[in-house]
Amino acid sequence: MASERRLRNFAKILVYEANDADEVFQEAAVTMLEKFDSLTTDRDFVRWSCKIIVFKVMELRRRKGRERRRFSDRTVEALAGHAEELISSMSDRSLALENCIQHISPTNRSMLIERYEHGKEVDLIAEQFTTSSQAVYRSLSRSRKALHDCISVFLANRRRSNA
Amino acid sequence: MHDSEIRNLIDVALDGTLSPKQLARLDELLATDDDARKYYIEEIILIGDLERSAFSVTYSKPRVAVPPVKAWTIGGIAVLSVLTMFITVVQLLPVKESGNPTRVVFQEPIARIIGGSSAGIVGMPSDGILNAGHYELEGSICLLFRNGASVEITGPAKFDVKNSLLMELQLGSARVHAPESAKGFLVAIPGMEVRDIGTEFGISVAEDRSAEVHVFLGSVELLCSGAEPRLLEEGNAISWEGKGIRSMSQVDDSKFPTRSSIGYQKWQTSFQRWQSDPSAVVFFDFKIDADNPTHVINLGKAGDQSHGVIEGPVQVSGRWPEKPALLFDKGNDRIQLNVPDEYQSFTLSTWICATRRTELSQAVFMTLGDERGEHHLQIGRAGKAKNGLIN
Repeated sequence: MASERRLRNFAKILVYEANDADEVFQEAAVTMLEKFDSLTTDRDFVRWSCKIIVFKVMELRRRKGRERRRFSDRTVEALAGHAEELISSMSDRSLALENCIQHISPTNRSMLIERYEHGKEVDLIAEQFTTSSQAVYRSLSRSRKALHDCISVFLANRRRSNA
Repeated sequence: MHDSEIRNLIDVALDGTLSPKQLARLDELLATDDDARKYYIEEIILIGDLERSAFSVTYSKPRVAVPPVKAWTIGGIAVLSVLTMFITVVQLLPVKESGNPTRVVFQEPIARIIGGSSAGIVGMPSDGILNAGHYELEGSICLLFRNGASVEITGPAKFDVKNSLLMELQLGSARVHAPESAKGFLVAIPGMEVRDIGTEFGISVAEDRSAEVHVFLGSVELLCSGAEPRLLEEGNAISWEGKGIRSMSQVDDSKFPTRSSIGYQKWQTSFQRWQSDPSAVVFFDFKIDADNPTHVINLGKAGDQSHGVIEGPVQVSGRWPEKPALLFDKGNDRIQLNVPDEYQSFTLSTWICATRRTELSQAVFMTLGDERGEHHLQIGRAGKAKNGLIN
C-alpha cells in the first residue's frame, strides 16, 4: 500500500533506526485504527497519520530516551515538517530510481540488492564478494550518492520538460 | 550544506554506530540546515525504496470502478435492406444483461500487450497488463513498457518482467526498440546484460542458453560480470555461450519478430476464427472477387452470403502489406449489401483508419433509410462514435 510505505518511511526519518521505526509505526497504526472515525476526509489521511507518528516518536523518546540515542524534539519537529512535504513526491522518486538503478555497475548493483533488498549484513556481503567490509561500505555509500544525484537530475529534467 | 559531513554521519547513523558526539552533530545539522535535512530525508526515502525492491518494483493504485460492458439491442426492429459503408463482421449473439458495475483492482502496469494475443501465455492476466513476474509464451506478442520501450517477443519464450527498464530473457527471440525515454533499457540474458543506449536490437536465447545480439540501429552496451563493458554498434552482431563473446559476420534482421509481423499473425488467427464462425452473417476481409471486381466477398457463414457491391472505394494495402483494404475517399463511396433476415440483436466489429474527419457525421455502418427504428453508426468530427436508432 503506497500510504503504508510513505508512513513507514516517515517514521524512519524521525528515528532513523529500523527497529524503532517499526515500533513507532506499529503503535501509530493501532492509534490510527482507534481514531479512524475522527478522520473527516480521505485526502487528509497521510497528514493526519504523520501527526500521529510524530506523537508516537515523542512518546518513544520520553519512554526510552535515557536508554537509547535519539534526535532532539527540535530536530524531530523540523524533520516532520520537511518530511511531510517530501514524502508526497515519493512515487516520482521511485520512478526516477527505477531509471537510475540501471546506471549502476552490475557489481555495485548486486551489492545494493544484497544489502537492501535481501537485508544481508555488510560482513556477509564482503565475504561473498571477497573484499573487505570497509570496501562494501564505501561501495554502498558511493552507489547511494550516485543514485541520489541521478534522481535529482532526473526529477529536475522532468520538471523542466513539464514546464 | 556540509555535503560530505552529512553523508558520513548518515552512513554511520544507518549503520547504528553513531557516537554521542556524532549524534549531537547530526542532530544540530538536521535542526538548523535545510539542505542537510532535505538530503537526510531523501536518503531515507531512497533506502526505503531499495529495501522494497526497486529492482523489481510495482506500484499500486487505488481501487477504481469501471462501467459494465453493455450489449446493445435493436428491440423488435428488422435490420434489413441496404447498409452503406463497410463492415467487417455482423454476428448474431444473445443479448447480454447489464450487471452491476464491476470493481477491479489494478496495479499500474510495467508493460502492456499492444500486439499479438495474451491467450496461451503462462502467467499472463487476461487484460494484457504485465506487472513484475515470470511469463512464458508459445506465440508472439508485442509489449510496450511504461517508459516507452517496445519489445516484440517470439516464442517459445520464457521471460521475467522486472521493472519498466529491465526484463530478463531466458528463452526466445526479442526485438527491442528503445526511444529516448527508455534509454538504458536493459535485457538480461544468462551471464550477460545488454543495455540499450538509444537503439533497436535483436536478442535471442536458445535452449542451451547460447545467445545472440544483433544491433540494427544505434548501439548497445554488453555487460558481463567481471569484464569491462563492451560497445556493440549498429550493423554488428555477436554470439555468446557463457564463456566468451564471438563476433558474427553480419546482422540478421529476419531472425527477430517485428510488430507488423506479429500483428499480421494475430489477424490471421482472427480471420480463421471469424471465417469458421457459424453465426457470422457478414464477414469482409476486403478481398475483391476476381470474377467480379465490383464485388467484395462476404465470407460470413450465416445469412444468404450475398457479397457487397463496391460503389466507389478503391483497393489499397491495409494494416499490413499482405492485407487488402478499401479506401473510402470521396463523399459517396460505399459498399452496399443486403441483410434480408430479421434479428433481435447483433454485434458489429470493425477496424477503421480515419485519416481525416471533415464531415459532421461520417457514416460507418447504417441502413439507407431514415424511418423510425432504422440503425445508424457514424463517427462525429471529434472522433466519437454515434450509434443508435432513429425514433
